[in-house]
Amino acid sequence: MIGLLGISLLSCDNDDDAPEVKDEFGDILLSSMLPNPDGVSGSAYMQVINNIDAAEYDNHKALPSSYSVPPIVIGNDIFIVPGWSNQSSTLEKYTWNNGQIENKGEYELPSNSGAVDVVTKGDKAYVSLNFLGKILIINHQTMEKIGELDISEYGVGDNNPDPAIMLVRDKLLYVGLNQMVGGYAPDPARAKVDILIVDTETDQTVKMITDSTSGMSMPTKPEADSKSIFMDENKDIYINCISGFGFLGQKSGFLRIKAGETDFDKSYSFDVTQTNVEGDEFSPAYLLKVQYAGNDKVYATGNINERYSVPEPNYVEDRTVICLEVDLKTKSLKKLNLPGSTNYGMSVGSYKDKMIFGLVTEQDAGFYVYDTKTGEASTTAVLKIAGYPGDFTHFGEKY
Amino acid sequence: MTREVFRNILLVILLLVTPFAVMAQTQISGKVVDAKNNKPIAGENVIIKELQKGTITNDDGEYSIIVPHGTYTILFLSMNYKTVEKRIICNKDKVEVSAALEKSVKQLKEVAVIAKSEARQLRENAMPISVITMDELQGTVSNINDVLAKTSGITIRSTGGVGSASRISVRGLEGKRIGFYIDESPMNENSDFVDINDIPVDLIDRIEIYKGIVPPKFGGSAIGGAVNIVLKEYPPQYMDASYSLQSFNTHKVTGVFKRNKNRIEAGLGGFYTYSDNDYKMRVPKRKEEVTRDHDQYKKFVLGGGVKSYKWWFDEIEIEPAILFSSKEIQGIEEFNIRNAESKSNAFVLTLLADKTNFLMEGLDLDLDNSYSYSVYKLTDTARYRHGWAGEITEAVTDNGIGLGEIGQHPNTVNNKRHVFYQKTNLNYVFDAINSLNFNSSFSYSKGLPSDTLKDAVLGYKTNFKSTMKSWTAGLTHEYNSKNKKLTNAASLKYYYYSMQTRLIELTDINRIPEDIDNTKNDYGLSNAMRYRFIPDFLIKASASYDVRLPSDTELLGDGFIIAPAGNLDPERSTAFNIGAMYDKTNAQLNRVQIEINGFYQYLENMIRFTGGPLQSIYQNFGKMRSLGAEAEVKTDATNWLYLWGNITYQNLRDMRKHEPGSKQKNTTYKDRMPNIPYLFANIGIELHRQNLLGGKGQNTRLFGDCAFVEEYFYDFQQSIYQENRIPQSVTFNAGLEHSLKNQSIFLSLQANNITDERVISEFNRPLPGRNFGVKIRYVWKREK
Repeated sequence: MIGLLGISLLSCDNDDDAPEVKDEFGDILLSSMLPNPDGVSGSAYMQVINNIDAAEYDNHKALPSSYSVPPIVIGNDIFIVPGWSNQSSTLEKYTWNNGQIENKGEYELPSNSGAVDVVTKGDKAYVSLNFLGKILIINHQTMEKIGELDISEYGVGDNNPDPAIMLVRDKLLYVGLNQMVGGYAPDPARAKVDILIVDTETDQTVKMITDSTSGMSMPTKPEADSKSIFMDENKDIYINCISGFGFLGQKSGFLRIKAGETDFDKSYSFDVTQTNVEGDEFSPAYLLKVQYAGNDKVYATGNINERYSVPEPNYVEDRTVICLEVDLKTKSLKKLNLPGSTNYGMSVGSYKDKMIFGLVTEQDAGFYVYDTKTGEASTTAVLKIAGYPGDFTHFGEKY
Repeated sequence: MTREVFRNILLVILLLVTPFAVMAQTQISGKVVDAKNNKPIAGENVIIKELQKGTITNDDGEYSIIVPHGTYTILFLSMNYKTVEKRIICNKDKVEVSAALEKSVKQLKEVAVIAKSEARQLRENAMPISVITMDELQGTVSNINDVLAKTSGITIRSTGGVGSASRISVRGLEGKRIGFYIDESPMNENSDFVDINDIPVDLIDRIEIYKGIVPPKFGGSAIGGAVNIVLKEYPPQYMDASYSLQSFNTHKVTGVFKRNKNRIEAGLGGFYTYSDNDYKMRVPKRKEEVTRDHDQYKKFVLGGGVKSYKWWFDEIEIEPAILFSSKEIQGIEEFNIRNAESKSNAFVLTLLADKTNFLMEGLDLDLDNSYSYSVYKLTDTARYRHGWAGEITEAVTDNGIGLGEIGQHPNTVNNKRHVFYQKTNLNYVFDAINSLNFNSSFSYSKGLPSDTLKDAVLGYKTNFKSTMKSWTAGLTHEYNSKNKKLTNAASLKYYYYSMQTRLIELTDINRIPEDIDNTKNDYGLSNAMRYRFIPDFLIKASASYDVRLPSDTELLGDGFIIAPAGNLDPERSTAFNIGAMYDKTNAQLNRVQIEINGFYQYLENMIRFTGGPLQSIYQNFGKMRSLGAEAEVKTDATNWLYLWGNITYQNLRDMRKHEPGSKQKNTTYKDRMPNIPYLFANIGIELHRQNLLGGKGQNTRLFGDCAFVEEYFYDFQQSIYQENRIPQSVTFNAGLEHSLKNQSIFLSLQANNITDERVISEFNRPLPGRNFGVKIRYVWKREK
């Protein structure tokens, strides 16, 4: 017994180890993810780096992040939300300051919130609670609750409209409503897109707008793409509709709410499933992640369902993800000269004139670089990171 | 470690070392010789039948064994000699019993059968095995998990209190890789309604834990090892009844009755368990400290048996059993669940028969046939979801259907299942040296799942009936050298399985299911040997190249969110074990057992769950290597003090070099596999004394044990800031057992987790803190 106590006491010393002081500086936030052998849970990390020169990074001094949702970066603030996983119940806030990231506090979310997105308007932060049909409002300086918006009345099929990714334009908050029923996809028979509009001055809902003509559903990607609703330089809002992750046989792609409008632009619908891709024989079933780059150009990753193995899909080997240049104006798709990836690598971020794609390819995994000016694409991953590549964010980018 | 914990530890130690006087015991000793030439017989089994306790003779044919006062049957058993049985009365300090044995080949089979029923013989066979007799631990434990958790190489991951799911890990492998058997009949197929922890300890004779290699005679496939629960063989007339009351309003009642007449025996046994499991817990990742209040568990099992020795078979037995259980579902993380619950009912009919000299001299036949029909129900239809901070959310469809509290859709699961199992074992003894064993295990299961409410909410059918057939055939040759120093068992196994079900392709917008039909086969090899250098010391070595068949869950999925994976290959394991065992009873009659084992296992084609955008599937893509060692010491330090301890270190590493289908190196190559303890140890102490409180026929035993598990990571270890760790734990348990009227009445007290250590399983499953139990048991038996 004494022997065991000895082991115990020696091992207890580990608990007192003070964390090492972080000494990394940079203006790029890099995240990574590692699934556990159980295939359900996993871990994710974020760290700052200072350039995109070819390098390999480990996670030794990286901070734990959310396994479900990559860090949400708003200006210099970084928010971590639990997403659909239950590996955490807190909303954490960090700030990028002097090249480092500092913890600014946390807020304990309601049980099983499924919080997937955060947007801010001044000191107010809106948090979409995907599982609860609510939008939480907190002061993100004090991390205290201001209020919450119960939007259950806008649910279709059930009393939860599944608020997902949001965007603030002027004084209005636009919320993508996934309208999932009984699982993680909307009713296949309802190809409609719902967006809720909230007045951020009164924090009252203004109205829900519905598109019934595009043949799409599920506006915004609830996990993993906080940019799936974005605004261009003209203040036009574009919404990436993922239509049940491309498995409902519906159309998918972009819808638009023009500047100054609070209704869908009936003249605009961009169905990517029926658009020929320059450089590929198949069209994407949906766009996994999007990054607006200005001048109507979007860089995106698209999923090609035809590339899943038949009859049984192989999610760890099927390279179904392609990298795309999307022209919102001409409604065209062009495949970039980058290798195909599994669904474990699908991110896209911007670094000046370059687009950075996080891919898991046949030859390697990491962040590939595409130069939007020259059209040159790296042939291998330039930034390699331990685990699968998560998101790439360069602080200070316009989009 | 806090001062309070130290104080508690000191208290425990003081309590445990309270001096005890010498109990009233008898030393039985003697010499065993060949009746013809009077030469001593070494390695002879000497067994006290009533105590199931034994020893072996030394090179001079001498033995000695200590027993409590009483009347016993002593058996002298040997491969080459006729068995001799003597009745002895032990009411003095020393009794001498010697025997002269006559040679006989015929006794071989009897020896083999009896030897297998003896813990020590099992420990000394060629397989890597731990055997725990309930005599060793009875009184300190309230369930099988408590027993297993004290064994080297074993960890138990419970998810809660009584009736909660638990996973047994043998040398780091767990779940479907570990076989679970009751009296050598596989129970993995019946996991819907039988959990290893259900079986009351009073009904158990011993637990055998096979590590790395599972004997083919058990049937099935289990590359990680197997736990075989051996139920007691009762005397012809017997009654055993017990009641225990434990913390958290837990009640356990057990009863067994047996009678015989005209060579027909009839028995009835069963148990009832009830628990509120209302212990306090801190909600993982949250601040709330709550009392679990929706975790009630009830289980009732009644089984009977009629055994005849009259008909053509040596023994033929029919055993019907019924099982009913219900369990409320306790919210842990998602919600404070108020309504969801599960129920399972089952009916099982078993027919067992055996026949020696079947068709020819030397050929033995064992038959095990069973049929089970089970119904598993999960009801989760609540309209309201309760958060941990008291918040209430309504979750309901437009049609007014509550969406339940678990997951995103409601459930009215009503899964029916028919399982037929047939095992045939043929053992042929060529001579005293060679024997051959053939085993055939066939299993057919038909699943009829239903979840009408889920289908109604989703708008299409999501569960489909399935059938699965599997057949395992094993051939084992056993060699025992003439001088009994070398034993070797070489085995060959053949596996066949097929499955039929239906699948909805998510890309099919019409949701029309497709038929899935797949068939596969594979094989496995193993060899185990033991060499006894001297009667007290032996070494073991074994190797296996074997497979674990995919389970029905992995193959069949759920027809919708988890897609069937008909192309799934079995997991392939290459394993080695080498060990040494020293077992010595010295002149002062103190016994010392020391066993050390080293093991290596390489696992390929690991079956892992992989998630896609909407649908998930099981795939083969993992590789893992485990390298470890375990040591165990047991000793009668004095004739009133027994000490034991074990320690296990297992180094499990991810050996996948590259990402599947890619040149990309695997980031976690050679990293420690997460969520598996790698260093753990147990120690225990037992003090015993007869008639401590005066009177006659009384025995008192005081136990204490301590378990240590080093901190380990839930995820792959990556960052110095990593948070998901399962903290180091040191827990103390103590027990007191007092028996009256020559072990007819037992009274016991237990205290678990005495220092109220906060113990968490799976990083987010809080386990009970300090808890207590009292038990009374009455045993009546008549040997005739």
